[in-house]
Amino acid sequence: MNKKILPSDCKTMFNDRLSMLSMKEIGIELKHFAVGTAPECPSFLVNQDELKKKIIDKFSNFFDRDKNQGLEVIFLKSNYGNGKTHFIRTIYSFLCNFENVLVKQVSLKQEKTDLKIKVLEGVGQRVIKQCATYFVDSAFEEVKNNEKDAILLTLTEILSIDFTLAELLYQATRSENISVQTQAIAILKGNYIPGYLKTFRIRKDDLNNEFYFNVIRLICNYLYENNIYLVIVFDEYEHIHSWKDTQARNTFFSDIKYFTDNIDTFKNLFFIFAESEAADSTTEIYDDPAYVSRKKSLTHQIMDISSDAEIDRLYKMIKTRFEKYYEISLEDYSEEILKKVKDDPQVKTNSNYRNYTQVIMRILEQYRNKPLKCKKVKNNVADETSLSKTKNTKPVGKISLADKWKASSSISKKTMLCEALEYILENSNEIIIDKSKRAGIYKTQKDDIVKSYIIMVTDNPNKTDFIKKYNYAVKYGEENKIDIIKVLYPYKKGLGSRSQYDNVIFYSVDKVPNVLEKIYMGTKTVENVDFYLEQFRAGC
Amino acid sequence: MKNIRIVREKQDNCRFNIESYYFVEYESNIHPLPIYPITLNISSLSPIDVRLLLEEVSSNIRFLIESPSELTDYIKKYEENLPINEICLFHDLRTRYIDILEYNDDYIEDNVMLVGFSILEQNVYLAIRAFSLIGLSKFTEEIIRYCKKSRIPIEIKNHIRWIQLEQSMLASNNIGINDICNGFLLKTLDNNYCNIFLDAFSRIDFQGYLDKTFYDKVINIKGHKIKIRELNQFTKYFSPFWKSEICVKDTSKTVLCLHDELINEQSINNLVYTLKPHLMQYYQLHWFEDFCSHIIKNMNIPSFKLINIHAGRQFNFFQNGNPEDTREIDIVIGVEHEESFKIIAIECKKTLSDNEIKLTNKKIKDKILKSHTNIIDAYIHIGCFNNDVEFDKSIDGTNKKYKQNIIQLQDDPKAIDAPYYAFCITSIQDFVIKMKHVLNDIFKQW
Repeated sequence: MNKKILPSDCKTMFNDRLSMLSMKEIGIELKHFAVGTAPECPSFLVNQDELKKKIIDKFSNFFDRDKNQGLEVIFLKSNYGNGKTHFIRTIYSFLCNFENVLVKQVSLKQEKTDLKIKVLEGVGQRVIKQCATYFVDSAFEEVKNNEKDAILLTLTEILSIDFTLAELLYQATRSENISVQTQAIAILKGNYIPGYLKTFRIRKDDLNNEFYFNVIRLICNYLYENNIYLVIVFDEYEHIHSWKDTQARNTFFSDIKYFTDNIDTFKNLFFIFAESEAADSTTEIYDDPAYVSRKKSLTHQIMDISSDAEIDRLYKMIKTRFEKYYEISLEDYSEEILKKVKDDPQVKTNSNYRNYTQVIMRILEQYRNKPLKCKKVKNNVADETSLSKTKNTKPVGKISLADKWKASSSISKKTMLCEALEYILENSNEIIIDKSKRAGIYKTQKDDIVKSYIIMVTDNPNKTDFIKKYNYAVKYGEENKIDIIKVLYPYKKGLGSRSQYDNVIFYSVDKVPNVLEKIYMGTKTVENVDFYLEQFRAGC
Repeated sequence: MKNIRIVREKQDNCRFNIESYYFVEYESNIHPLPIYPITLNISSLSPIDVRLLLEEVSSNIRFLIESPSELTDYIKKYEENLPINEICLFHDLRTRYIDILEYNDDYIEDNVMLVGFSILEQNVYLAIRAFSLIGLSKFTEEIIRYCKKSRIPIEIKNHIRWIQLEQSMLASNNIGINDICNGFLLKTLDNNYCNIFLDAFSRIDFQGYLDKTFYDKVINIKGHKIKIRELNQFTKYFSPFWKSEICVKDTSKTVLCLHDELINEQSINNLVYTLKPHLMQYYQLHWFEDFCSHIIKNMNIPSFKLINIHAGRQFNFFQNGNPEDTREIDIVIGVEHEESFKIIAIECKKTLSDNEIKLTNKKIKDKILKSHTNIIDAYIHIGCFNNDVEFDKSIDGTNKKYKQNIIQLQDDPKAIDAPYYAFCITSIQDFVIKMKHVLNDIFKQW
């Protein structure tokens, strides 16, 4: 991608990236699922819709000059094996694609980690030097005088910093001695050796909390002025609970408080703390009750897998990758496989995300190794190539999709339409709250509006049949307190006009394969499902 | 030969040390790693900027010296008095500055590298001396990734993965082919004669000889109609034999007799032809491999660039000296396409069969995938004749078919799957079309 990030880009943060993966990457990802580890760059993140939305909103605002409120801090908490690493790697790998976003991952495993120094470690020496150059050059522009003293004085005045920091900024930029430059940058970064201090005649006490908060403040100003963003993912936060040094822990907590008290000062900075549920997390309460209440409001829980729909979604994502990789279709066995997954002792003992991915992979492998039962998809190579560029590629080629539609019974046609609808809904901001492929009904929610999509398929569309089914749909909507119903019925002349039935799409049976093709090739997030479904309408 | 390694304890033959890393000289069968050059097309950098850029490449990098220094300082201090042929650490970097860094991660430790660099007007030239191939490979991969993201154009002369492959390659014991065999090979590669030879070979493989009907067939060469028997460029590689029936108890066996040793009168009309004995041996053992490597070397497929090739070499990807882990690869190529580089192993089988593919893939699993080196990106099985392989994929809807599947070690989490392709050829043109399609697929899909 390699472009500057826009707030709207964040909407694609959790999009399925299957179409962008090479077969090798799919193979590696499947191997991760089988072993139970998180892929380096996950290509999807299912479920957690609420949390995903919150994170997208946070980042959209963060990257929006008009909405940015300064520093953003979130804590992501999850039980072991529930996909915390998968979650943060998805965010991390997404942000890595943008040239003006610096993304760093920092582990908090080490005892006595100083948050300020970790932030500066994340910033890196190159940015520190660029920042120093930026301010020293600005000071020079201000005074139009190349005298060191004049520049130092201006730096202290315009940046509200002391002479120690001004001197270090100056030396990091202007010194002709590489060694002095390196030492100045190392002190600014906080990873210096004591001998360096002599070079600048500064005492260790000068490099206190205030000094480093000032360095970070300057860096944030520099980032803001240059439209650069810094996102730091602090992993393994739970280790802080086991630090033996209470003082270090308190400093860590108070640093977070300082940052969150001064969000406007630390612009263009985003902290994500990732935390697994630790056996003993009470240290925060004992050490700093005020911090606990603040942290609570910033904490977001990565939820356990709790419903069949969530298992289905996870299964579907893995199955799609599996089918593409091995060029097979296991659709006919999905119900069997899902039942086996749900009944597997491994997930019954502990139903976390990791166990589900492992079990799904194990059972898919069992089915792959039954070659007679599995239907091999004989794709034309050219079709494969064109489809490989698409998003969420379905395991059927262009020709076979049309052929499949033509050869399908009305029940199978309904399944195909249901799958397409489900695909559209998953790429939209409507959340599926209930579904029945057999009945052709999908119930969704967006904000407080509950909507039902009812797909009807018949080989003999006629007025009597339509009126009967339409009335049934209306009744179903009333009985189930559905706010909006949307019906899809095959087009035939004389069934009724668009104005007469504004909640019905009379779809062209002949057009369906082309529309399905288009849908699966679509690369955008679906903003408006109704508008999107209009493609099916006869005469469009 | 002399080599240098890094140890953590002080030793007498230590050439240089930094922190607790000691660079010691030792006798080894392994060649020292070559200096790895990279050119970054980036201007206006100071020496400190080069260090900061390298630091940005990976958080796993730690510098072991305070700041970059003039390389001559190190040469003067550590190598000025070395005999001229002695292995050196600094002298041959031939850059103006040097930085010394450590690049360790969960899988590699004590990975210290000497990074020489010169700042030119439009670019920065890096010369990396490493002591671990994996360490060098990981470090350069990080540099390439970083430069790609930061849009810094980069020039690399040797692909690190090819160097990795060559480190696993055993000394060659190949004997060149003689002039007669070479002439025969070149004739089979001649487009005018190739198809006649392929047709003849399929008959020889099937029945052991060419008969009168084949020799009397009229063919068209460069617009001239001519009988094969009149085609000296073809017939000179074949000898006539008498074909006789020998009755043994209740059965009879067909034998070929030398043309001056007529067994019986009936055989006088049964004159057949087959390859001369020494050519027959060459044909059976080496011809197809040589045939394939010649075509591959001379293939001209737009946007695909053949960078490296080795034919008939043995490899030990475990680098453990164990002969049982040795694997011969008929042809291995390094190909560049759209800024991507892939290494592809090609197995040539005169007669391709399902069983042959299975056996070869098993050896690939045991001797290549299991080593976790993941150097080879894809495998291609090429056959001259097909026994029973079902080629189930078609090229762009034509009748040109091939097979593709995956080689994997499912129970080994560190072994990365690799695709294999298989096809048989009917002509040189057919070979190139299929090869082009397969290469395209490998780069696009894998």
